[in-house]
Amino acid sequence: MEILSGKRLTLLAALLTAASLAGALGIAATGDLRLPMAADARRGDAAKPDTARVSAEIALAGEASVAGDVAAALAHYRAAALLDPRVVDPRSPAFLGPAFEARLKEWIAAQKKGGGGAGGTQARSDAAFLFRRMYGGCG
Amino acid sequence: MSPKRFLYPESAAVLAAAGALLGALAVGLAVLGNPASTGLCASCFLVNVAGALGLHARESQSYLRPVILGIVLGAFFAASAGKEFRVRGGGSPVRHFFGGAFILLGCEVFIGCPIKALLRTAGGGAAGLVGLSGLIAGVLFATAYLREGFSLPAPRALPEGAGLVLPGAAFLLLALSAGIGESFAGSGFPSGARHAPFAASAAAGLLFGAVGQRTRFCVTGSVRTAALARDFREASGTAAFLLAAIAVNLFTGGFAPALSLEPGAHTDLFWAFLALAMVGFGAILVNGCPFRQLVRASSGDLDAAAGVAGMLLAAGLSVRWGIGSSPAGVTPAGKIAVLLGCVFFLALAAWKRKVD
Repeated sequence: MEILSGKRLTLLAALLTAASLAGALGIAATGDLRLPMAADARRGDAAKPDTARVSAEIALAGEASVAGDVAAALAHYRAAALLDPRVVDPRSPAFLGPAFEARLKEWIAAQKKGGGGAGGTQARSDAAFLFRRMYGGCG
Repeated sequence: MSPKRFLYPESAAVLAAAGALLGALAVGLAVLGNPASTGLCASCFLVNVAGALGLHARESQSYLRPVILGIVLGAFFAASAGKEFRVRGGGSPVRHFFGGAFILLGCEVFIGCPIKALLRTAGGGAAGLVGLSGLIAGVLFATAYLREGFSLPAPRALPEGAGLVLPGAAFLLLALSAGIGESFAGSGFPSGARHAPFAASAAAGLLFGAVGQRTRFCVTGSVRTAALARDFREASGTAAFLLAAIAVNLFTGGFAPALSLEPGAHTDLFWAFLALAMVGFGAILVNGCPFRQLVRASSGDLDAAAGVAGMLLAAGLSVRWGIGSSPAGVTPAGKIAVLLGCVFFLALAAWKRKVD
């Protein structure tokens, strides 16, 4: 790291600072920078999602699952989880249940084997998202 | 074998043994009920504590973690027993406050502090490994400034009572949690934060704090010392932590090498790298990662206590302003927080370079 000293270090730091500022301004200008509404922030998890939409997504996922369309089922489950994360939280009363958990693991196992019927790239991404959401985090 | 070797550990073997103990214990807490790879994560736990204290209102991230309170008390008792409880401060409290805040925000964008980066890697998580690489890159960049004479003003001795506030508050909160239970701690199942049993968490926290204080365990500090002084004793503790965590994960079935299935992670690898690079860089400038700041604050360092206050405030804002990442990915606010953190630490490094 001795190569990074004196003027070279100053120059690199100046470049990094400029790039960071430009990046931050660019994201602020183009990113979806909406802060949660104050009332929502106070209510936290208690903020009620659109339960009708969540139920509709879950119902569509169930129908797709029964019909054997795993990719569509995963897409609808993902949409439901994005609307209301509690549906994939095993501690929540809104959790989809152990049957869903078992089915998701089966689909992931099938995707790992590369077998047909478990969907393509998007389905793998949806399944992985649901899995990561279900088991981890800071709380 | 002399007990002094353990009370005043200096050898690589003892530091490695201590690191292995902490690593195994951290995985054990996840097995007992904490979220995956989150047996010990100072930043996640501070977010949980911030929620329990009302700084944010996300139920699933609210819990007055006994581990955090135990760390404070364990470090306090260990420092007192080793005659190292010295109250000092006034050197750079403002820089510690803002530095601590940006470090916490960087951790939340990555989803985890440097210790959790080790635990995520030990669980087979590729994103954890990428974050760890970023952390090391950030620390190595910071050492360039240390070689150029970067230093913060030295703290001065202060009246002893001031240093007792944090351990006193931790004791009070822990006693109330033990007496009143989860309703006070703010994690009523089924929707509260996942956690190991109270007694196990509190006992582990005491041990984390005490061992952390005696060994100066710090992931970023160990990389710095190895890079600057070619002294690998502290790094042996960090390496032992990682290896022990991998071993316990293999034993308990918690090792699953996969990028997309890493629990609680996101797959924005660039931001995982950059967020922890910022954390590594900043942690060297303000003398420690979140865990080390907690331990230093509990040993009487009031500048570090200012850092802890900054982290706690940032923990609340991280949830309120949507800065923290989720398995869905990194948010625009999180990206901006990381980039502003880079600017803050680069400015701090330039400002305090070559100080007489």
